[in-house]
Amino acid sequence: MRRVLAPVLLRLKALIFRRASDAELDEELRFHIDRETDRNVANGMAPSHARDAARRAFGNESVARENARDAMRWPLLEELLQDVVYAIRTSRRAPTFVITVVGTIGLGLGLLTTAFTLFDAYVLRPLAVRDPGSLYDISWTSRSGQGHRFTWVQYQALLERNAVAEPFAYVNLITRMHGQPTIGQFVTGNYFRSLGIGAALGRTLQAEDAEAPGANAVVVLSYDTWQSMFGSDSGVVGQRVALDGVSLRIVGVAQKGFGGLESVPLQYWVPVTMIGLVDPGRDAFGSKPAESLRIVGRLRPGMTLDQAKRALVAWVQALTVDLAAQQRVTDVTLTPKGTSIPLTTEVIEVFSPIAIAFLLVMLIACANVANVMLARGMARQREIGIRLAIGASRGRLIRQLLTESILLSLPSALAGYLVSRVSINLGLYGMLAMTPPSYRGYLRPMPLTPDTRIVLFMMAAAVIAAVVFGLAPALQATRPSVVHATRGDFDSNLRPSKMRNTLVVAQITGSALLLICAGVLLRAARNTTTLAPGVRIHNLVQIVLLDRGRERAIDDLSRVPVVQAVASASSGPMDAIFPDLFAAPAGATPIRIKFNVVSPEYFPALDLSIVRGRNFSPDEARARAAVAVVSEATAAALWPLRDPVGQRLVLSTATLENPRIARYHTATVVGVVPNVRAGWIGLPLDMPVVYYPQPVDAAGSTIITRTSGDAEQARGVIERVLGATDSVAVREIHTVEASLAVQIFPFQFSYWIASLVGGIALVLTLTGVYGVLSYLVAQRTREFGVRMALGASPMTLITLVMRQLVRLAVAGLVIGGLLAFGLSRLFGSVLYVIDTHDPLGYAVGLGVVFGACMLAAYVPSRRAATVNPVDALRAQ
Amino acid sequence: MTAPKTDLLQGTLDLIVLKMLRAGPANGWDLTQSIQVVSKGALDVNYGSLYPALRRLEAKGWIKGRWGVSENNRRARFYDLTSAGQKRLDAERQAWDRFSHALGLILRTE
Repeated sequence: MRRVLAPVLLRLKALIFRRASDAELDEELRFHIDRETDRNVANGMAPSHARDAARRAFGNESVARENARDAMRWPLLEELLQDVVYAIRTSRRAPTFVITVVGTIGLGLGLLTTAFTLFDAYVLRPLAVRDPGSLYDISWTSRSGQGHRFTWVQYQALLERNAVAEPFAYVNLITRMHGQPTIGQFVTGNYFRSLGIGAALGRTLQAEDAEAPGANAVVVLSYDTWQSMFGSDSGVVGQRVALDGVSLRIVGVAQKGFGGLESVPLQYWVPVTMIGLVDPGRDAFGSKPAESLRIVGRLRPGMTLDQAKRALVAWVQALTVDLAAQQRVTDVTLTPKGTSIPLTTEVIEVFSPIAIAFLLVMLIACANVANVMLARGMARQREIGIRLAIGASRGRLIRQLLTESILLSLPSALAGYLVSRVSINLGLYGMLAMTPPSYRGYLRPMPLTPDTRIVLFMMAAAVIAAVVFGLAPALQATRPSVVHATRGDFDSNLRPSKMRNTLVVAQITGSALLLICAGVLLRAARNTTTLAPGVRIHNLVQIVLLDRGRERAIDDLSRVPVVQAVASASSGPMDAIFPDLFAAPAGATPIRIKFNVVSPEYFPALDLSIVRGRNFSPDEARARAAVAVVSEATAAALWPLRDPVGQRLVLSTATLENPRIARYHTATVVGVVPNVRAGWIGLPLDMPVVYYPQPVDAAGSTIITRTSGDAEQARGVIERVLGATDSVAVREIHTVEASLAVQIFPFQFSYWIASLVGGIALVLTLTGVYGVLSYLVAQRTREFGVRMALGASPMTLITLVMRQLVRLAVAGLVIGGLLAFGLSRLFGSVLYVIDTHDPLGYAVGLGVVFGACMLAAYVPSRRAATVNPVDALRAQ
Repeated sequence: MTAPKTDLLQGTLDLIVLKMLRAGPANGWDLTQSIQVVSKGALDVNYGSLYPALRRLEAKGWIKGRWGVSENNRRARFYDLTSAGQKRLDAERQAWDRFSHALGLILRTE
């Protein structure tokens, strides 16, 4: 090591102590001359001649000195230092130029970094657990296409099977802790040990905690929750908390920064054996266990993914061998769990349009700066020409100009960092502000703190940008021949216009693309807000109750004055997409139908009139009789020519796997209701829906109440009344309007982002167009003067300048439009809710860009028209 | 000095300096003298290229400079051959032997 380092140290010493090193060299050379002189004297030469003779014998002393110096140091590095000093000196003389470049690149880079920060936090950042790369989530699919999780017995079988290493299992659950919505996990006892997570306080969960169902009522808090909900109380261990009314003893706080393996940071961990007490519907134990366990295991060292998969398929085959053919396994899916969102092709498809949009803004910013640099390069022709003339090599000059742009990129990176922090915080704030209050507690983004990857990304992006915007102008500017430069003739053989035109067209293309996106998304956002859900949404409050207190709560509800009607449904009207079933008249091919199991009060409460037949009777509801009410779309699809009332609807065998609706196997249609959107505003209105009966107090269903007066106020009243009898009866309570707002929100948000990004792109393009045309007009002042003197009208000159831009703008708009069309075909599958070929959206986008370009061109062209011919001619 | 002078081949100065330093430490002027003496005046070292060569060899770590006292009692810069320089010298010498042998064979054939 020393041997490698020693020469470097030597050079470094020579570089840093330049004076001392030069003095040493001087002394050494002086010694040589003196010694030579002495010898000459000794040989009998006259002292006066001896020194001159020694000098002559030595040859050119200063060349020797220069060469010796270069041999000692890094000439490249010294030149670089010179360039840096020179660049700093020149940029101090042009502060506006520096501010323009730093601001423009900073803005583009900041937005790009914001997008990268999100991608990094969710997709790239490995979870802070032991060996995250070997973790895989396991699930399986039956032949009917139904996805499956596992029961406790199945998990126990997997432990013996050894197909994967250290498998652990868990159930995710949203509950209320101290009245606040909290997200946590019910985990097996080996969860923390397998992930290598320790405790910040007390202990984590151990194997003994999760051995017998219901035995250990303990909980481990996340560090963040301990800080935010318990004020970092060091005496928290041993205290009790109520989770949906089940009292648990806090045994510890998990280590800082750990929030589970999900895309939402988790707040607590409870032994999986407690799941039955908190949510009986997802109890994975007992005689009728639910398939509620998610299993994550590690790939055994030396085992490939395929081998693990084959072993797991064999295992699930053994589990399902006794079941009907349709319910047996076809495939096992292994999903990487090393990051909070696995990097799959689907994720890339969703992220890449966003990445492209932000990258485009960055490129437009670069094009802008390249144009500024180009103009500056032209202005520096004289300086560059002189330097070329006195012997600077072109390579050296290009290197110097590139040093300048890279130096500019460093403060730009800093500006970009500030922009990204501000935009991230504003984005989070905006999201929180736009979310209806009752939903805010569920908004838990991943921590978006900057890490080394983000810093590296910014540095790399800034330097690449510097090369992109700096290299082309540098090549262009250093092209003049020495002859022309010394003559002072800089215009004749330079054709920078081609590059400038390309840059302008590229900018207009980029903005057109982004604004078409914004236009299309604006229309989509407007559409979703004007879509009729098909049901009444005003004055409705939906309540998720715990089954424990359900009867009492319903009883209480009927006595609240603002409550006009109480209904129940397996799915709230605008809560989430209704689940699917496959059914048809006997003998026909089953079709996909959305279903909802509702109490008879559901239809009147939601203003769904029965258009044919009748509603469920109270007896049918209580008995959950095999009768059905279908939507008009279902009736039209299954019985187009017949009266649907009285027909029979038979579930396909695959659907019978779902225990909730197995009892409605062959149902008689008793009524028809109008079409509704099946739980999500993005679904078409004519999607078939079928309803089956249930009593109003059916376990696990959502309560829907129709209220009088303001729904938000009624929500508060209901929450207070129900809370008075049983403080933990209500798990969730929202107005249906708020649920709908939450559904529309993503459309609005993406529209805002697209508009913002498009708007910034447009502003950058406008400044670019404005700058280029101003420059061109200034350059052609003499020509305009001549034209004016020869009788051209101001109008002719304006058209002359404008026409130049129109040509570029049309080229950019056509390319942008075609690109948008092409990209929409590529990404259309992801954005299936949005009409990606919406002509009005295209028209809006293209129109805005064109209009803005014309506006930006008008000001400089006016200037051309007001040129005073006498001044213009005299100026040359 | 009647013997005809020979121009130095490109790159051979380094080899010569390393060889001379093998006999023991020397300063720049000593080196020029010994080169002339050993080559019997046939090789005339351009002093102007000797000092850059010394710096280059030092930067490569093959020789090491230090200040010492010359025989006329003046402060002078002396150079020692390092072990890396020793290895380099052996390698260069073998290469040179191979080269001169081959060249000799070619030149001797008619």
